[in-house]
Amino acid sequence: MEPLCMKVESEFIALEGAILAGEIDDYRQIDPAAFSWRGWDHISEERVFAMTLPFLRQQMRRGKSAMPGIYGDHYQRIEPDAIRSREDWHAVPVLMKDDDEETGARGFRKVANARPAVMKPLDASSATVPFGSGGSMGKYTPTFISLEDRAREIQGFSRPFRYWGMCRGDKALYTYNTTHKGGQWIQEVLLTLGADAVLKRTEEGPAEILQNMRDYDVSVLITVQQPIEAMRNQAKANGVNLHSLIETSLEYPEKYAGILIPDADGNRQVKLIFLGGFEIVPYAFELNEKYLGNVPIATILGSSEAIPQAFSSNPALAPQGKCHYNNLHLLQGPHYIEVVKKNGDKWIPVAKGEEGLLVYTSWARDGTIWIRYAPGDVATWLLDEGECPCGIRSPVITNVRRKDAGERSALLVNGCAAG
Amino acid sequence: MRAKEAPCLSTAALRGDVLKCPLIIGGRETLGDTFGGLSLFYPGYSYPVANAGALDIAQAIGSARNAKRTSLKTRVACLQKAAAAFSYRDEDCEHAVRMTGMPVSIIKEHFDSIPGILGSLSQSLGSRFTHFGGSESLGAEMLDAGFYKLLTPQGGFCYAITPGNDVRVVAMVAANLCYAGMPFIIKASKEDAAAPLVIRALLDGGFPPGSCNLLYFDSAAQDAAKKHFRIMDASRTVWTFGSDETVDVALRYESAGSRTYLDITDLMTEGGGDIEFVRQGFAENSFRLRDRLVTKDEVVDHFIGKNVLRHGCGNCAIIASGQFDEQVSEILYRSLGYAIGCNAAKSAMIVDSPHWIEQAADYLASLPVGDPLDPKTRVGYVNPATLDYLLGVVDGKRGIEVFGGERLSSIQARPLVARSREIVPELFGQEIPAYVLAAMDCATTGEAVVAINGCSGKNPRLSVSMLNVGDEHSRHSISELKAHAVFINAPTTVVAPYFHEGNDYVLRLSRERLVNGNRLMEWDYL
Repeated sequence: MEPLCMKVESEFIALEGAILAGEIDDYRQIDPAAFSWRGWDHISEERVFAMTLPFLRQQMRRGKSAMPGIYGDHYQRIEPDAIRSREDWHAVPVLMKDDDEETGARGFRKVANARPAVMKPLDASSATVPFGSGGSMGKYTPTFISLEDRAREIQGFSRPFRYWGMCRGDKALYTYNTTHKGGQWIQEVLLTLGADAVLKRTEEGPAEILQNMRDYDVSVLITVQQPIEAMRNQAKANGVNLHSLIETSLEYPEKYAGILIPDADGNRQVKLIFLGGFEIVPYAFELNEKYLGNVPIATILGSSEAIPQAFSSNPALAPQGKCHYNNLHLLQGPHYIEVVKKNGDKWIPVAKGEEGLLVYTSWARDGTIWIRYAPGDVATWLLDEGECPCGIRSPVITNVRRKDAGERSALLVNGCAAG
Repeated sequence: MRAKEAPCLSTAALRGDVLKCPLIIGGRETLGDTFGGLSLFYPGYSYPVANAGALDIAQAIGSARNAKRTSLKTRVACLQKAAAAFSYRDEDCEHAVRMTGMPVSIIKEHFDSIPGILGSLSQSLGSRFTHFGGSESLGAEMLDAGFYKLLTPQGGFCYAITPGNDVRVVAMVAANLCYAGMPFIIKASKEDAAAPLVIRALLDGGFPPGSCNLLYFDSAAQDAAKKHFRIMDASRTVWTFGSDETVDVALRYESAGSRTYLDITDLMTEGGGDIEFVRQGFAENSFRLRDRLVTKDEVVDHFIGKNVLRHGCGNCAIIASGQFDEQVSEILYRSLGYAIGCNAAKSAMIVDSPHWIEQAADYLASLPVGDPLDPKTRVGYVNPATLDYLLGVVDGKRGIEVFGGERLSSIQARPLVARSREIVPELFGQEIPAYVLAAMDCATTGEAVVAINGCSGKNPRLSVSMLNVGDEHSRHSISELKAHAVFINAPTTVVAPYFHEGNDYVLRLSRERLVNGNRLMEWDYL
């Protein structure tokens, strides 16, 4: 693992200059590798907005013409080219999946359920793959992703891994379902970093996985852990997760001690655990404290609609940071991430300490265009930009949760925590 | 070490201190997640019991499987040290009283006997079994010349599910397993707060931490069966308490759903195995398709492949003759008075002693009845459902003469003696824990033996005591009694260090699973 580096790359500065000068006015002119640059996380929000504004307008224009079933009515009174400032952007309506009585927003779920293909822009010339969110209630709404979209997201996704200290030569094992978008992206990110990626085969259980971890000298474990109440769901309880790996290690210490749980001398092969899913749940902390001796744990917020959105740092590498566990730095690029609240007919950023809707705009996307899309998550704005002692400038959010508590319960029990 | 004489209400109880039933895994104690234990007899008395989770169970299994194995000499020394290290407090005694309903005087005696169980077992077993080999000897018992019964499986651990009606049980089980060198996981009853005391003593005595593991979990919870079968499947030996019927339902078999199939056995025979014949018949609907649908429950037998030790149910009995003297009265009390114990006597066959039953009834009626926490009390509390049932059985029944049995409260009655002219199965053939003695006059010892054997059911009685029965008769009868143990002029509740000879609680492999030929296979000791 490598220590953190906070310097903004010169290439990033050059890119910023080119965009602001109008030399780059189409997101496709940006090399996907640019989304792996740290600059996105170390410049001010003002600068991030300025860089992405041309492409926000671009996607709004595309949305109106190429996804009329979703944006046609939605943007009847919106003129993309008139969006010139953040205040203008705040007037762009938030897109919701379901009708929201509180805000008067109209949802698109019925349209998408009736004909999922409406989610693919009419002007998308590339071949695409529709990825469905495993956490959706009922029929999932697909997000169409092209090969270039994939490349951009994976480059963006690689940033948290670098902040965690991962580098060439590291070896990671992940238990994600490789038919899910997250599972595929993780594999590619690891390879992009130069780290070896060990997969979980469908038929493998905890014992085989632990043996693979030993055989391949794995030091990073990427897995999930549901809340304790979700373990009652037999299907999820039977899957592989942190609990089941610990359980097998405890039952066969002669074979598996020292890999995930410490051996008699306190040694442990795994140095970092990335726990995916909705949040790092209290049960995961309990397991880590009681059985693992407090291995550094971190997470990345993302969904099939947009990866990545936010991440928490490696506590061991950034001990002074306030961005540990479920306190997450926003990750701008290739998506524009906001936490907003209704203010009159606008949706404006929340203030520090306030809770608001998590929305994202996929401004560098060939496939499904999400513009200020609110999937139903809320978050609390914890720290303004520059306030986190870890050195990463981007703001920090916390307490990401489903707005609908009932949906949260169902998600926790049945949802995507891909075990 | 002995506790001071227990007061009626302990200071600790008045203070609201609670007893705890922790997990002991790999030498470490934890309480963690708990569920509530409640007393049937003292409303409001509750205490936390550790509720082992899936990971606790995994850890216990890992500890037991990997426990260090020591030599017989070391184990014997550790048992001696454990006997010296064992201790208990007033609160432990009082807790057992509150949970069992038995008088504190009896409970205290039981606690005081535990060091003896731990310390003397080695000598008893050592004199019985032959050990081969040098420092790491194997225990074996000679069956026939050259044919040996190996005592200890060479791997794995024992899973023992112990009851809560006798504080000595865990000591007996653990001592046997420790002597045999077999690591164990004991799943104790939530009523049993003595179990941790025994395990601590064994660990203090020097047994390897992983060899003595104690778990509790809520047997009424939805995941209890899953936890139980997980331990069972990982174990090599299982030790259960209770009748075969109870154990098989509660601990052995697991429902695996059901399957439905079409029974065409007769058609295949009729048609000579010609599928076309069968098909044609169904097409013409002449073979009554619906009537042939069979649904069968599938069960998984978790005992398959295991060494199973069963401590069956008690239903102990007495054969008495001669005078009802002071010695006999004391033996009777120690048999009947351990009301809920597995080896309490429930029936008595009186041979040629016309006044024995009335004298016994008078004696039992004189016993002080009251709060079991009172040191003077000799008759304690009983499960109200049990009392309701038994008193209902005798109430108004023709041919039964009832002595005593006055109901004092929902949980207490004076001891009852029911003299019957004939066998009443509900009284003579069932093990129902209460201060109830079913008695019958018999002309001869042989008749008494036949009566006892006749209503013992599928399993032998745990023990039968013969009181003042002449030597000639007892020698002859012993061989015919369907009982695991027979005591001469001693209570049915005697706990030999290895408990009951017939049940053979020292681990053994069944004859069918053992050696081929007439030598010990696989080991170089011979």
